[in-house]
Order: sequence, then C-alpha cells, then structure tokens
Amino acid sequence: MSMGVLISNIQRFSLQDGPGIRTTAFLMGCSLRCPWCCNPENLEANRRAFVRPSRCARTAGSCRFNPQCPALEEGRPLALEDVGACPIGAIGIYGREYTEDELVAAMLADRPFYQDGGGVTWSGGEALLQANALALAMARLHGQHIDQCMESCLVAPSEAVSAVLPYLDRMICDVKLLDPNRFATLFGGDLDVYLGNLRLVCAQVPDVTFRFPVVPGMTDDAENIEAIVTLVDKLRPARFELFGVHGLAESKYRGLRLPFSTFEQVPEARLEDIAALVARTGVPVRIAHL
Amino acid sequence: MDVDKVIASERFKKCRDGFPAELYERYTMGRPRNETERAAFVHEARSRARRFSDSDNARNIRSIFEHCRIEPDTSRRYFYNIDAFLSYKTYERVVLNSTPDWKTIIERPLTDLYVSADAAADEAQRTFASRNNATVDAMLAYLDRCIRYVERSDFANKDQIVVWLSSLKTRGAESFEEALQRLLFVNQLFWQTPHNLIGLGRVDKLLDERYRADIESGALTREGAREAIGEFLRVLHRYYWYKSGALMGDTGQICIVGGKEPDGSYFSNDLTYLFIEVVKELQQPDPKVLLRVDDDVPADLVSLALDCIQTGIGCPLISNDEQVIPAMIAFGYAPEDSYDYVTSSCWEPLVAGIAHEQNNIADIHFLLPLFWLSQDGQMDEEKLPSFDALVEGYLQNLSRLCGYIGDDLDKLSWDDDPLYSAFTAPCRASLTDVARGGGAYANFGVLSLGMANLVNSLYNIKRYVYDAHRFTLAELDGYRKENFEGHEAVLDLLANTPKSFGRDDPEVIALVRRIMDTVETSFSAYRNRFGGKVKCGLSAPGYIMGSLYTEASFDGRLYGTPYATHISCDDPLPYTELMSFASKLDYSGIRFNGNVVDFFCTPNLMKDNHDQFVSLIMTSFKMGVFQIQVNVVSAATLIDAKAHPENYPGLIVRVWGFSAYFIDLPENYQDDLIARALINERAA
Repeated sequence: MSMGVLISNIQRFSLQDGPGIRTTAFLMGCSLRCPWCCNPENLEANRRAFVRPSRCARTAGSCRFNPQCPALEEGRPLALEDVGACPIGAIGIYGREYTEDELVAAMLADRPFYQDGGGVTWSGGEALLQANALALAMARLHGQHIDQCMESCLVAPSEAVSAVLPYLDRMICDVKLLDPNRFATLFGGDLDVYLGNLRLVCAQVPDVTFRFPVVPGMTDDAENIEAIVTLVDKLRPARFELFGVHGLAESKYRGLRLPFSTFEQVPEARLEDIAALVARTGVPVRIAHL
Repeated sequence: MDVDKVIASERFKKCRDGFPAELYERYTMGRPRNETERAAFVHEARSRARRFSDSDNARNIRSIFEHCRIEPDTSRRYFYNIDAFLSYKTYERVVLNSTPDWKTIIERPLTDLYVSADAAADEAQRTFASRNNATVDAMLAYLDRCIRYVERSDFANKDQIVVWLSSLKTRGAESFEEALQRLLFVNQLFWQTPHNLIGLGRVDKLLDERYRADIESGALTREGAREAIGEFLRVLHRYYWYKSGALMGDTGQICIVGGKEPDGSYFSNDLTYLFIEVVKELQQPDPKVLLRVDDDVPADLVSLALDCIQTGIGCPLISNDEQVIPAMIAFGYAPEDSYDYVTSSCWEPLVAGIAHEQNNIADIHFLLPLFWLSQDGQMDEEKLPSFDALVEGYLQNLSRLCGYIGDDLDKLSWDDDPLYSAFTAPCRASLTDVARGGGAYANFGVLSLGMANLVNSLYNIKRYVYDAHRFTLAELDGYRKENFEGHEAVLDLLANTPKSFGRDDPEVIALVRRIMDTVETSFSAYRNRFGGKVKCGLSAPGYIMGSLYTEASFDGRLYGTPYATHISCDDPLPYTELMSFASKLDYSGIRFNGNVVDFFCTPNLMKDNHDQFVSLIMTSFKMGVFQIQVNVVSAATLIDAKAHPENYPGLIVRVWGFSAYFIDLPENYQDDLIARALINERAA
C-alpha cells in the first residue's frame, strides 16, 4: 500500500496562509461539509474529473468539437475516463498522488524565497485526514528547518494532530460555530473533538491563528460571536482573523457539477464590529480579504 | 481628451521627419478632435517648420542654434528651451539611445570641447577639427543668446540662472543647482539637433559631490534638493510630446540611481532616495528611474522602489549589478566602465559618454528559423523523425539567421555627428567623428522577438506530434499555414496548452539555454567595421510591431497577433516560478543586452503584501535574475479606461521599457495590456 499524499494543487507564491512567501499544498478529503466551502474540489478523498468552464466550447447544449461529449449532459457527474472526450482539453482532473520524495521536492521548489519568514503551509480539504503519510514529508522538511504551517478545521482524530504537531511552527485554526448541535447539523462534525484538538494545538504550537469565516445567517449571530470571544479570551491565540465569505468558487462548483450556494456580501462595517468585539480580549485582530 | 497632447505629438512628427500634417489623423487614433485646435496646429506647423539640409552638419547645427526661437517656461526655476519646429535633414542613421558624458559636462566648461587641428594627420582629421570647433562656437553663441534672453525675462531667479549659464563658458559647476541647470542646458542641445532617447546618466553619483558640499555649507537642505529635483524632472517632461519616439512616452529619459562600486560596496546616497521619492510624487510617465542593485542593496531602498512601483507608474526598473557587471567585463569592457554602466532608454547596459554603442539595432526573430523549416519542406516526420531532430534543424536555421543579421549590420552607416562627437572624448582625442569610428566602444546590441512563442511552439509540437501522435508534423504545419482556418479545435488546443516558457522546468530551461548558446556561437566571430561586437538579450520591445505581419505559430498564436514580451509567461504563473526560471538562464558571454522579467500585479495585492514583494525582488536578484519591471494595474481599470478615456487622463502604464499614458496608446497596445492584466488576475 502506497503512502502517497493526495493533493489537488500546490500553490507557489502563496500569501494568505501564514507569514512571508509560502508554498501551500491543498490536500484532498475533508471531515466537514461547510456550505460556503471555497475549495469544493478537496471535499472528497479521491481524484475527480471536472470541466473548465472558461475552456468548454458548449453552446446551447451542443459542442462543435464533440457532439457526444459527456459534459453536455447537464448535472451528470464526470468520470475520470471522460477526460479524453474533449478534443480541446476542457475536461481536467483534480488530484495527484505525490510520493514523499515528490512532495518534499515540490514544497522546496521555492525554498530561496522562504528566508524572510516564509515557508510551507498544509491546507485542504482537511490535511489531518492524511496525517500519517503527510507526517513523513513534514519530518523531512522539519529536518531542513523549513517553517511549516497547517490550516485546519481540527475535526480529526487526536492521534492525527499528535502526528503532525512536532513539525508545526504555526497553525491556522478554523473557528466557525461553537454550538454542538449546529456544528453537527450544519457541518456533520463533533464539536468536542474539535475543542479537544484546539486545546492541544494551543498548548503546543508556538504560533496559533484563529480564522473565523463570517457567514450571514450561519456564523454571525450574537450568541456564536459571544462564544467565540469567550474562547479567544480563554485560549489566547497569537492573532484572530476574520473574513467575509465570497462567491469566488462558483466556477469550481460548476466545473464539478455540484450545487452552488450564494451568500450575501458581508459589509465591511459588520466585519469591523465583530473585530472590535474580539479585540476587547487583547488578542490582535485582523480583517483578512481572502 | 488632451487635445494639446495630441496636437503636440503631431507637431513633433511634422518637424522631425518632414511628414505632412495628415499624420495628425494617425496620432489622434480616432478620438474626438477639436477642429479649431487642429487648424491652428496645421497653420503654425506650415509657417514655422524648417529643416536645414546643408551637406555639412556643423553648418546645420549653427543654423539651428541661430534660428531657433527661445520660448522657455519662465515660471520654472531652470532655463530649458527646445524649438520643436527646427531640425536638420539626415541621410543616414543618427547615434541615438545613448547617454552623454554628463560628468565632464558638469566638471568642465564648454570651451574644453575645442580641439587643436595641429595634431591632424590627414584631411579627414582637419575636417573633424574644423567642424568640431564650429559646433562649439555655435553652442557658445547660442548660450549667449539664451543668457541675453534670461537677462530680459521674467524668470523669478533670473540673476541666478544667468550666473549658472555663464559659468558654462569658463569653469565647472560649483553648486548642486548649477549642475542641474548645466545638465538641462546641454540636454536641450542634444534634443534640438536630431538626437533622441537621451539618457540622463547616474544622477545620484553625478551630483553627489556638489550635493554634499552644499549641504555641508548650509547652502542647500535635503528639502531644497527635493524641490530642485522636482523642478528638474518637470522641466525635462515639458517636451514629452516632442521627445516621444515610436509611441508617446518612448522618450528614453532615464535616470540611473544606485550601483555596485569597484571595491564591492554598494553606492547610494540621499539623492538615490530623493530621485525615487520625487518620481513617485510627480506621477509623470517621464523621466523615469532605473535602480541598480546588488546583493548588499539596503532593504529600505528596495522597499522605497516598491512603493514607487506600487503607484503604477512602471518604474523604477531594477537592474542586477551582480549579473550585469561581470558580464560586461567578460565581454571586454574595462572594469571601471562596467562598474559605471548606465543603460539605453530601456535597460540595455551601456557605457556613457565615450561610446558609439547602438544597443537596439536589430531583432532576432526567433520564430523565423522554424518557419524556414516549413518553407524548405522539412516539416515532415521522415525528415525530422524526432523532437531532437526538429530542434537540431531549428538551430541550424537560427545560426543562418544570425549570419544574415550580421550581414545587415555591416550595411549600416551613420551621418557625421559633430555635436555628439564634440561631447565624446575619444572622438576629440582621435579627431574622428563618431560616425567614422571615433567612439571607444562600438558594440551593437540585438534584441529578441517571439522567444516565448518559439519555445511554446516547439513544446506543442513535441507534445502533440512526437509524444501523443495526435497529428503528423505535416498536418499540424498545414493547419498553421492556413492560420488554423477551419481547424478551430486545433487552434484552441494549442493556444490553451500550458505554456512552457517561464516554467521552472529543467528541460525548458535547458532548451532556452541551448538556443541562446547557438546565438552566442553564431555571433562570436562577428566584428563590425569599427571593431565592435554583437551582444544580445531576451528583452523584446518589438513584441507588437514585430509581430504584425508574421504568420501563425504552433503555440496557437494567429497571424499578426502580439508575441509574448520579454521574460514573461502568458499563463498565470506564480511570480516565484517565473523568477526561478529567469534565474536559471545564462546571461554570460554576449547575452547581457537587457533581460528583463516583466510581470503584472494588481494594486491591492502589492499594497497588502509589500514586505513579501520586497522579499520576492531581493531574493530573485540573489538567485541570479537579471532585471525586473512591474505593471501595477487592475484589468478592470484598463478596460474602463479604454472605454472612457476622458476619465483617465493620468493613468500611467509600463509599455515595453518606458511608461506612458494609457489613453495615448494605440488600441493594439491597450488590448495587449488588458489581456496580460487579465491573465495575471487569473492567477490570483
């Protein structure tokens, strides 16, 4: 059995997920199903075919290049073998399994640029779901003194967290909903697992960022925000970031033939109000534009 | 619309090239016109424009300086005057895109330019001496006219200006501002005669001694110097329309700042910072700044340069001395000249004031040798059975192309140039006009066209013909020759295949190096009649003009559409990948004639991540990147500016190696910028 790591994309010159210039790997497979997810290609832990809407030549339900193209059928999920059906290459595949060597090499391609506080970031999906395989690459990067960050929803077995903790210099932890029932019904997750892991991370990782997605009608009610402020005050992360969810992933949903939900834009003033509430804890707060 | 600007550009063309006023139509680019202004322009141009045509250019120079009208802007602090309606006729090329010896001009009086005919060994040298001295006479007589004008003018500081100008006759400049006025006076002499793209030299170094002396004596403050530099740059910008060449904005007025010293230290001073700060505040497309950096450049200087770039004005361009200087020395330049390099109007390294160097005299059109394989009936797998065979065939043709370029260079000749020669010490010493080999260096620089399109073409052929066997070579070439008409699926496939040029892929890098090795080898034995060599680089200013009548290529580029520019990628690559690619190319040998990485960035991305961009630039140079320039603009702004030019009179963009007002650009240049900005934003 191979110990490869399934990854949809390795993004060089990544500026959003940790300090400096970073390389971010997006691991496939996720333990939650957040309705606003902007990386839907990483929800399932397997390779997936998709259509590049900007490339697809379909007009009025037909295609001049291949009238039998499987992508013409509205809503039909694509199979991996459908890739060859498009003569202009508009059907692609998300997902490639990296061997440990390949992954280490890919994450080190920009090593000279990491010197001013940069490094690598593991994101997803949920990187912890592939913790065992990932930890091997992480150990090697750690041995080369590469700064490592992980962005996680922390809904994973605590053994997974323990497997990667020794190599992490920093972590970006999602903080979404703190009501156990809503956590279970909206995301399909266990809040206790999340909170247990969060405490572990805060106790052991040197630099922890809480990242809060502000989703109107889902995460922005007073009760949830009050609970978050209490949690921040108690666990004292290095910083707290919040951002309004955006609809930038629509083309990904369309390409994957998945239903897409739209969310109303969060006014900047609303973000500032929430930021002010959290800032009372004394923890530095930043509004991120992701 | 800025009618003045449009009319002014036409005025420039009228008097410089003697073209009829009908060219006005071309320069208005179909925008609404003010007919009253147009009629006034045509009338003025017809009544005033004059081109002298004596066979002796020294007499032409005298005629110009005797007749030119003196109409400076007296609201400014410095005297600067160009009569845009006077010129003289040239029959051959004129030395251009060069930088005079500003150091000597600051330190010595104009009378030092006289030569003695006593040492003349032959008639040619006697003629040179006579023309040189007549030219200096003409300049000094013109100087007197200007001084008399200033004495009677309403310049607020006219007494000061008279002192500054008068010293040109007797001594070197004694103060910072006197040096600025002196640079301006001599600068206008070059522009008044048929020279263009006049570089401004290493301004921080040239002015260093007088700046420090004035600061120490209390005659000048840093704030005062800032204002003086602002005036200096505003005055130089006044004739923007007249100075613009191929496109509005292409003036070649480049200030070089910073640089590595022979002792290994990095030179910068207050003026280095001040010039960048002032350019950032002025928000003019010209004059522009080029910042020389090395491994020891202070981070705060790079940070300031980024602040300036972030405003969108396209400069400073940043040039890496760690690459440029060793390459120049190895090529054959004296070390002291190499450390003191300036550049031609874009970025091609140059020695100021002593040379007859023409740094962009020809282009290597990299797709042509591939098209020749097709024309010679070679595009067939029987003749080219493998990708290696294709590359080998290509390189043989490339070598032929370089030979043809060398043959063409041998046919070029230059008009006698008494003014340029008078300011060029080796010409005065040898009593030989620059056009006849009087300059110290006479190397010719060739630039690139379509390198990225070539490399992407080769890899498309590899992928679809030799690896996937999807088409035969003949089939694919047939589609291309028909401009892909009726083969839209093939075109779409080729155009959307990931681009290779710019990727951090060892195989691609090796291919680019091999192509440039062939260029180097092909030109290695070339010497022009002045003994100069050929140098080359990957910069490609002609990416639109040079592509206009060129057939379709295998990268999915259609007939006549633009090439990729400089070292860039038409896919949205991460900047670090493009930099890694560029850092692994070979810029040694003859390959140092400008190699600029060119990328787009949105204003917000740079603003929100300033420190990361400083780190990106500094690390890239340490890795071996040669030069960098950045267009900071959003596609949405450009699209709106194209639709509503009246709302964007001050929007500045970087074009090839200069900055320009976006609304002044021809539509194909606007469209190319929009397309590149959109590609960049796909990466975000």
